[in-house]
Amino acid sequence: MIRFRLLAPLAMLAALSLATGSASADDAAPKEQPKPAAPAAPVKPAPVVTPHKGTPKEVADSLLGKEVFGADGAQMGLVTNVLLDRDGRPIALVIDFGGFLGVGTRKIAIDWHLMEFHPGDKKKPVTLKIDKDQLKSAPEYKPDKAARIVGAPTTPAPAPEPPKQTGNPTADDKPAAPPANTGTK
Amino acid sequence: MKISGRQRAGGLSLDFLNLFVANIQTGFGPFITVYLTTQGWTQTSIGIALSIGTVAAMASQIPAGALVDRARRKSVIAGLSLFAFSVCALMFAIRPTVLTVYFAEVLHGFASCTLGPCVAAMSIAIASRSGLAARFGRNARFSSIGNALGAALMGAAGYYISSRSVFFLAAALSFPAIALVWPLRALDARARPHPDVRARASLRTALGVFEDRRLLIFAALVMLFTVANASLMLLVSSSITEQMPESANLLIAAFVILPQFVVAAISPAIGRYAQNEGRRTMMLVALAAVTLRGVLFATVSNPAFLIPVQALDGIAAACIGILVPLVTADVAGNSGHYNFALGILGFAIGVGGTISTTVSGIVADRIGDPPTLLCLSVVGLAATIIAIIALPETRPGRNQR
Repeated sequence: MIRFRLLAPLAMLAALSLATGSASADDAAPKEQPKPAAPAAPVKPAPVVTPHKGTPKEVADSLLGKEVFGADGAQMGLVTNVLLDRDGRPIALVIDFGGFLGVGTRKIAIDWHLMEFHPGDKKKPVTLKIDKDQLKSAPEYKPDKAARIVGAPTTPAPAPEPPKQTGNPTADDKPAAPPANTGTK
Repeated sequence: MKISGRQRAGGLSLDFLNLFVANIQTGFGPFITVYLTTQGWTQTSIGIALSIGTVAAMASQIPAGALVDRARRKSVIAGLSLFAFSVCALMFAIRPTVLTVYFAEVLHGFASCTLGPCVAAMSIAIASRSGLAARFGRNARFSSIGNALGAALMGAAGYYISSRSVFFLAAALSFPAIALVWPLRALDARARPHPDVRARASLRTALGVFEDRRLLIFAALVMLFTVANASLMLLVSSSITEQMPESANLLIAAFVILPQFVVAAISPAIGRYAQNEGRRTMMLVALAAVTLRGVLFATVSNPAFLIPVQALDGIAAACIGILVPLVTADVAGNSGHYNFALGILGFAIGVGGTISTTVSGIVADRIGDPPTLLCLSVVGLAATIIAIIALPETRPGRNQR
């Protein structure tokens, strides 16, 4: 009985991947593409490929609610929000960490550059490269307060980011421009 | 002889019904937030959906109690409520749109409010007057086993399969629960109030329940208990995630499950004590336990030492779980308004829980976790003092049935 019921979501997933996975034959190149492209227009990248078929999931995928995994492959949490600056550049992801069946979770804002994104990858959509000690006693993210972003100072940005680098040099202090809150509606 | 055999069979059904109900309800707890997050819901819209559920559950407590009082077949209502649970779970699992989630939240809130009183009414029907405390002790034992099993099963399903599978599991578990209600239909005739009582029962006699000082004081104390109790777990588990992010999941699982084992172990004894020492004593034990727990949580910082403190939660939960239906039966058992009175207590608990989580969230933001835990303890202490001064003993005299 239970087993039969569990098959239903699997079937739905299979149908979904059939529907979306048909486009984009060469996936090696697009896989690397979104990362440098991300700072420019991260939430909705400009459609890159094939206007008729739409942008495939391997190029642009939704972010809210995606599971975040650690570098060691352990489940870490869920993406609940994205913090942007005035130019629409992403600064941090708000991730809901920990907990058991929803009890004891904790939202922490983590610097955007510590993330690796694998759009279209159902198993590991987001990987977070962070030393777990940094998460220890990390400040909780509160929507109505200045965001304290974890991991900004220790890891320099991999992609060169000329003008806005001065925007948030110090991590645990207020960023100069308070990040805009997206996705709350 | 024949009756006692049937009673034993009914008792077993009731045991396992409690187990399954608690098991199913685990899926409808805070896990809904996790699931809707994975479905791309924003935290704001999840908050709205959960608030709708809370308000629906609170608003339906008292009307649902009155409805169950009037119902001639409590087993049918219980079966329908369980069927509603499976419908809600499937709505969550198959297509969580705004409309289906709102609808499922409202339906689940209402069905919870009809199911609980039905189970309590059937417990009264199966037990003798003096055996009622023991019966509610068994109910609490099997509910807590169901909670622990549910947490383990659904935790595993959520972790290893998908968060969606949790709701398919909850839906599937509703059917054995419905099957367990079937043998209980023999209790319907006994669960019905005496025809004379039924004929006299009216809105005016129902409102008379509010004039019973014993029930009002008990309701106020249960509410204060919930204010002191409801957010302890939230505050402490969130600070565990803060201090030990790498092992928080397992620690919090232990935090959730350990009190259930304590309840399962001690509930029958607590039921006996409630019968021998009195309800008042056990209420004082519950209030003292929650007060002490808040103080210990505020002062002990090593998470490993926090786990034994959680055992106090089991003691308090067992006392409250038994006393709520029991004191209601003492006060309103023969009035024809038992479930209505139970609904008043359910409403008081709902109000207490809402106050607790909202206010403690705001306070913890301002002054930090440990002082907030102490504030909650002060509420518990105040309730203990009120109970010492004003809580009357409601145990019926020995000459009553």
